Amino acid sequence: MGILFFVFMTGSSIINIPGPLISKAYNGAWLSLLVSGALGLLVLASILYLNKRYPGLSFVEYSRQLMGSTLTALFCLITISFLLQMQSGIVNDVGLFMVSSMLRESPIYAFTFLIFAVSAVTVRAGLEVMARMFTLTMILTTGCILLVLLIALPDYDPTQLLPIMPKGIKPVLHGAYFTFGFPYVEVFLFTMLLPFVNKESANKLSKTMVAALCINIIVLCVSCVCAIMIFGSFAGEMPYVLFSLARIVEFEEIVQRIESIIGMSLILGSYMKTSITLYVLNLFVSQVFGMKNSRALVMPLALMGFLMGLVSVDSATDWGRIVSTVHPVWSFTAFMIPLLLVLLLSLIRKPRTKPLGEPNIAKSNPSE
Amino acid sequence: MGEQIMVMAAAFGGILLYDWLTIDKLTKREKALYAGLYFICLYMGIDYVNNKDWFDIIDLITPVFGDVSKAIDDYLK
Amino acid sequence: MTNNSPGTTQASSTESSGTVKTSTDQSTGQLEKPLLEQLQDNIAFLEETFDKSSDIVFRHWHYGPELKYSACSVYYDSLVQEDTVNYMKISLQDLTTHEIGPGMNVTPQDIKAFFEHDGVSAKKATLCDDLEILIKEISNGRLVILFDQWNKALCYKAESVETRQVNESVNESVVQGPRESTVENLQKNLGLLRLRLKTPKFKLEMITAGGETKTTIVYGYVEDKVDRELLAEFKKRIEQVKEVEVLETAYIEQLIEDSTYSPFPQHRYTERTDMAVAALLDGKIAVLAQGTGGILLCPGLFTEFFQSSEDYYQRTIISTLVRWLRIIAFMIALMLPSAYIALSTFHPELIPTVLLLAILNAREGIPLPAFFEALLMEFFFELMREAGVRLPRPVGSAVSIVGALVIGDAAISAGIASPIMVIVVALTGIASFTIPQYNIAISLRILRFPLMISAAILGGFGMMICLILILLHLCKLRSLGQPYLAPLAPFRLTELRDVIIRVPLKTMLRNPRNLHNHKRLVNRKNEE
Repeated sequence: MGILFFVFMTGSSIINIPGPLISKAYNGAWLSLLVSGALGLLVLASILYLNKRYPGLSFVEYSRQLMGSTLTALFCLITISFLLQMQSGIVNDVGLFMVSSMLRESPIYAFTFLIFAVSAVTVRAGLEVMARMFTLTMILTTGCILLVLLIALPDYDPTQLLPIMPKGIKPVLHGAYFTFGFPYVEVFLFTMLLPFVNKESANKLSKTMVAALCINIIVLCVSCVCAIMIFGSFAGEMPYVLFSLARIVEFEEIVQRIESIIGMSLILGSYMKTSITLYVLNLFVSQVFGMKNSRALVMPLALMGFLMGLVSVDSATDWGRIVSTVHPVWSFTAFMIPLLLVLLLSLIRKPRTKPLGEPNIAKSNPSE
Repeated sequence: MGEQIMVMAAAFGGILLYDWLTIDKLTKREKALYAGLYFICLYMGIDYVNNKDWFDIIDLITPVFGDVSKAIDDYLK
Repeated sequence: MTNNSPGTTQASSTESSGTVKTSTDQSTGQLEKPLLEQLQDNIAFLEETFDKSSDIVFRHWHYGPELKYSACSVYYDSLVQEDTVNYMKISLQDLTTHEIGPGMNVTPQDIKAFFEHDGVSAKKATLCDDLEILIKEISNGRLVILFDQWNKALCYKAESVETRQVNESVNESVVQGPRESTVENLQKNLGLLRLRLKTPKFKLEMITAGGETKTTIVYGYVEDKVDRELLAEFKKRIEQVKEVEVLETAYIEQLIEDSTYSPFPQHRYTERTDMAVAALLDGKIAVLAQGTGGILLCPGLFTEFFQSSEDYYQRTIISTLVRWLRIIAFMIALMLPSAYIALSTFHPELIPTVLLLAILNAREGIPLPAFFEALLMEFFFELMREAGVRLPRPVGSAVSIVGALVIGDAAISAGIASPIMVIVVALTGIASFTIPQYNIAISLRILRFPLMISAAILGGFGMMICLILILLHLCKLRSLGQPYLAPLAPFRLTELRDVIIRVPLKTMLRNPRNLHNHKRLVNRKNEE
């Protein structure tokens, strides 16, 4: 589960985050990351707490208990809407990336369709297969990225890192706001997946998850820092920073223009993230409508994501605006508000249900 | 236009084919949900093929969140 | 009575030696078709069953005082080729005191009493009182002697057809190490295995296939090392063998495998006894069949296909490096043609400039785009490979020269292919031969073509999608219930010691080979 978590958080953020973040927060980008990372840790802590309180239940199930079915359904609709948007967003990002940088003549639907198709097939194979596979691909992806960052070592210029906060704290907050919207609020998705953890590794769960999140924060910080070191504040102007970094790296005249490797890592990362998102989305939809876990709905959901990507995006700049401004608010409403509500309710109910602890949990066991 | 229709046909047909080959039993609820989702997809597919820009989910969300998001963004700039 | 020289103790789980047994129908204890008292009736029935077989022999004897008692021996001349032993005489000899004479004093009562009460006889004999079983015995190569006035028959094991001798393995040769390979005779193979595994914990269980062939199939395992659930699963699957005709262990493989349509093999094959024994000690189950020398080792996991027994006979460092070589060869054999197509068509910037110029220079006059050129050359290579397998030896050298000329020089001079392409195809072919197990090298041949197609359509992206799909399939695949990519996919660090590097034998031999399995077995023992 820790691997899945790490994969998920790092997957597409490593390419998409540094650029816009630096454009907002300038040299304080890594500070923003630390801030939003801390918030993400809080979210993680609350999820783990809820999981301990209601072992074996997913978010929909225990929110049903606490809030009642209708309220749950209402909130979950918003969540589902954002999940759909999220998954089409991820794949769309990849498609745009491919079309703008690597394979310019191909139409975008070729890429999005293939990634959705492969993700859907992966999700149909089951969570265990996904975990097995992503271990291997994650090693590959992280290896490539670290390799590229290492090879770029001679080009680093640490003086570009200063001054740290040229325009005060506002840009840092702006950056934190942005990165909280994407990706750190998505920690929420794991409320659905935590019930699937093996009984044996359940006690190490919290440690693994926290470790994964911390490593993720470190990795993103490092890539931001490297980007700033090479490009200075100019890094904010480029949409795909790591890619451009790979472009100018050169090593002994043989390893030149290795941006394709970064491109591959990006695709792999996004594919993994899409698969996990699609799996969670499928769980959400099936549970909101009363089924435990339905494999049949995976395909239509993937199809919907694909079409949404084609239809909703009217232009590239519009898309950029939506991601920077609307997404954080949308995701906050979709994810944080239900989570906070559930958390509050469980905290309130705790003192009351302490003597009645057993029957409450016993009631929760029959699958809804 | 023709190319887009082909892509749509491939996508929709492919999904039906794959599910027909690999899934055996569906409860009524599953079938209903499947059909519902499929129709939403059809709606979006037609939108795409005809380049119409009908009402879609972004248009749904933007009026709800648009002002708040703009305000926060301007504040932080 | 003659002294019984005990027959050789053979490693057989079916018959004991030197004593006489009766056989009845196993399941119900009822006889399906009991033998009749009169010799003539029995012979009439047998003659009718074995009608139109020119190699069946009915030999009539007379014995006893004044030679007034008759008997008849029935056998297949083609199976019982050893003419020097007269089984009738042997059965009589057991009953008389050693004098010069043809056993004149024996009476049927003596014979009945002797054999029915399990007297000790020189050659193995069994009693049979069911005509159906008698027919089966004759088909199995036994010699049957029918006596007048007796409703039982004596069966002697007399089969002696010429078989191949134990010699060097043709397909799996090593530089250093035992060269012993299995032959077609099941008992000889089992003997070779028992010679290496001298422990009663090495169990060999037998099962007979159905249909007309009725092949004997034996599966073996070492009791302490094999996983109990694995064994139960295997036993469940091998029951299917009872209904079908089995000619080779490959048939069994296809009956019990998890996924028939996967290009990847789920069991390993070997003809070498040392490899089989190593696998048995690892907790695997070995399947052998009468009439073929291939030993099937189940379950077969992906990483084991890259191991050959020679790894353990060479030094640690060189074995580790050779293993890396094999893994790289696997990648090359799978991806080189598609990588070439993707790089030259879609991503020329990844190739170092000097090499790029050389490639472009070479590809100048070629009429076909890279994909079709690659497809054509690969097709030629596959043709050559298939033809090479079926070459009669005199023609062999001529065809290889022609092949080299056709694919190599002529194609280049005619302008159909570029030299780089020929190098790519040749390298791919050579790389696929580096892999020790033949059946996984075949799977690469299949997978190369979808990769080439996807590389031609979308370049690096297409190739990656195809690789993801292959990886997904590998992760989903199971071999006898165990995950196929076992030490890699559920990532168990301790078991990786034999996959990527070859840990020094000192470490490997002292600790159990399969650590995860061992822990499970130990836990289970502690629970009991």
